[in-house]
Amino acid sequence: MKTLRFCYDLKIEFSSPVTHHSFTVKCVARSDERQQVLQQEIRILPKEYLSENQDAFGNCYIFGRTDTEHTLFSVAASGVVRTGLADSTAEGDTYRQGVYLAQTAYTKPGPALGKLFEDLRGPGPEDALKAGRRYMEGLRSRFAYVSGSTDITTTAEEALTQGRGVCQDYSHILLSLCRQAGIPCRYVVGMLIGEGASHAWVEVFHEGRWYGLDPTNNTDVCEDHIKLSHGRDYSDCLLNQGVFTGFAGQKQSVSVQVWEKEPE
Amino acid sequence: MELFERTEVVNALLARYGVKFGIYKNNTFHEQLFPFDAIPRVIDAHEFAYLERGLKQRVDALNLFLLDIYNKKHILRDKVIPEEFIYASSGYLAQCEGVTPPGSVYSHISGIDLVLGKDGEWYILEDNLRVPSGASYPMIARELCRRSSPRTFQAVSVADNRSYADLLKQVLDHVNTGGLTVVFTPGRYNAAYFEHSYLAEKMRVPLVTGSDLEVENDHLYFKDYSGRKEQVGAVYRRISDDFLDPMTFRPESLIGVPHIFDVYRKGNVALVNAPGNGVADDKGIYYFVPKMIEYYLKQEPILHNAPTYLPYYEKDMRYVLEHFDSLVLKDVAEAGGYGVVFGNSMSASQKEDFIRLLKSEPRRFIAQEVIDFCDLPILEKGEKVERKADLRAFVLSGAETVVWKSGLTRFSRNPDSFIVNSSQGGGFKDTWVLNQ
Repeated sequence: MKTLRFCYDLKIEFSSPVTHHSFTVKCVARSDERQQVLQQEIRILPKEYLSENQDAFGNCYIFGRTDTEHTLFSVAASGVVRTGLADSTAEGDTYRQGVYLAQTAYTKPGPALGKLFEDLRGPGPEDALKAGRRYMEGLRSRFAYVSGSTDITTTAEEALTQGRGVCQDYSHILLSLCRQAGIPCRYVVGMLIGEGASHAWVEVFHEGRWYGLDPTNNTDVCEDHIKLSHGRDYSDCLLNQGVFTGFAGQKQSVSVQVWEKEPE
Repeated sequence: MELFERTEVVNALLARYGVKFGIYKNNTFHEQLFPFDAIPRVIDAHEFAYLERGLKQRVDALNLFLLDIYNKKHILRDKVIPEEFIYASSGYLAQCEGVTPPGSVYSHISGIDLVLGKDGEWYILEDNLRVPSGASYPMIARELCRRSSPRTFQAVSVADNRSYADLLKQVLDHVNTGGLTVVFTPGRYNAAYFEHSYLAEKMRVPLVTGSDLEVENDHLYFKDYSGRKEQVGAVYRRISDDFLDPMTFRPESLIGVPHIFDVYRKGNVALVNAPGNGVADDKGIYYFVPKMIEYYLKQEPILHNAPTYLPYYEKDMRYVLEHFDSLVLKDVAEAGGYGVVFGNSMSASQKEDFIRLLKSEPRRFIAQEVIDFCDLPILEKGEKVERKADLRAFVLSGAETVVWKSGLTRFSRNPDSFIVNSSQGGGFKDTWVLNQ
């Protein structure tokens, strides 16, 4: 068990003023069996109104709009979360998890993923968590972390074919393998202890519970992870989305810091 | 009959009122008149009562199915429908999970296509639960026929179909969460723009586009020309799910309303029909509708499907391959008469290619027996000739489910064609339901 502090900062700079900016922000940590949110604050600027809602997957999100002309849009979230309270989270009935079993545009296997699945598949029946861990282990020698080698549109098949990628690609590949094996699994966005950007990992459904696997670091999800959202793939967990009026280039920067809070 | 002699007059008036149908072909927009034939399809009161019972039953089951699929999923738990027919369907929208629309109604306006077989039986061809169009055509045709030939309607006691707008307004009022009711059109270049404007006018509600609507503080507002905002409680939207809200669906949509889906999720506006209905009118799901009726209503289906085979099931695949030449094959993802091929019309090499595709993607197709359906007489250059025709019945679900006492009868102008869709250049007739 750890008590973690986090700061999530998103900035979008526009090259010329934009207006009628509608946005949706999905960077709200929620308490579950694994983590307890002790404190949380989110500031979004500029805004005319803000509203909170829950999406189809149970994630909390904030939406709003601003009609004021602006060249900077910023989201600053911070809080304190107690993590590592359990190794998994309970979920309802198995027959309702089918939505996490269907391949998506990001995870759909092609020849490379099909072959990898054949190479890694177990000799006999085994449970979902063991299988998930073996696929994760198998990825270690076959896929390399190279930042900037892929972008947000890269599919699991494309990433695997070139053999390099980032946490998003590791996660999509693991999802694709688990789904080929008939294991319901989902994409998770969150934060990891240290400094950098947001992080992504996978949860597999095993005996009525969701277990986190972090394929980028080849480890089970532990007390160093703060979860923000989950969905079928990257597109369900966008941290930030927006439409606006204006003819402008945009530059987005994200900075995430997570550190352990000193015991009081 | 006097009415028939006035066909040209009625068609000229329809043209003047702009009763047109748009078609996109090779990315360009063509608008064409929707040719009207004055000989009505006539359904007597007794036969209509039978259709009414069957259609209500079917639409009630479809609405229960949609509520179940996006919430508890009991029909999957009980293995009545295989899971992959839901989650692999392009009509299934995960974004709609957990939503219970106002009044628990998903399909408020259902366009059910039927044909009358030569054996005297009606067969359901398909269910249209997304944005079914067509009611306005018999409405205005009746109006103009009554005007050009009033004596006809004194002689024959036909149920008045001009009440459609009132029925529709009652449904919209029933699900309205507080505020205005509006008709939301994608605009002038939509295939059914005439219908959008006509229904708005007849219901006396604003016809709006995306830029007239705005979300603020959990509610949807209509902004009028002076900038005044008024809350909207029900949206009869004639825009497809994909384009409805760029924040939830296709992000490049410029004709949608940002965050409209978010306030709908919160229960603060009714969207009519509800998003996500495509999962129930998928051609693959069609096969399971009789099973839904048995499952949800514990009743025998009154109206029957055309005999249908799912190549997904091995037994059905074998049947399809053995009887290929006598079947019609349909791509489940296509609509409007596209993606339909007749086994006997393919060359040997086409057939070979198709069978290869069928075997690699069995979930993508259904096969049906070709129904020998009744011809209806139409007037061509003053002569009566026989053509294939179907019937689109409109079923409205609000506080209760009602079947409109009319319908859109479409016919093929090509004597050799079975495809009657207006997007394939067919014409239409009025449908008379007799009071006796």
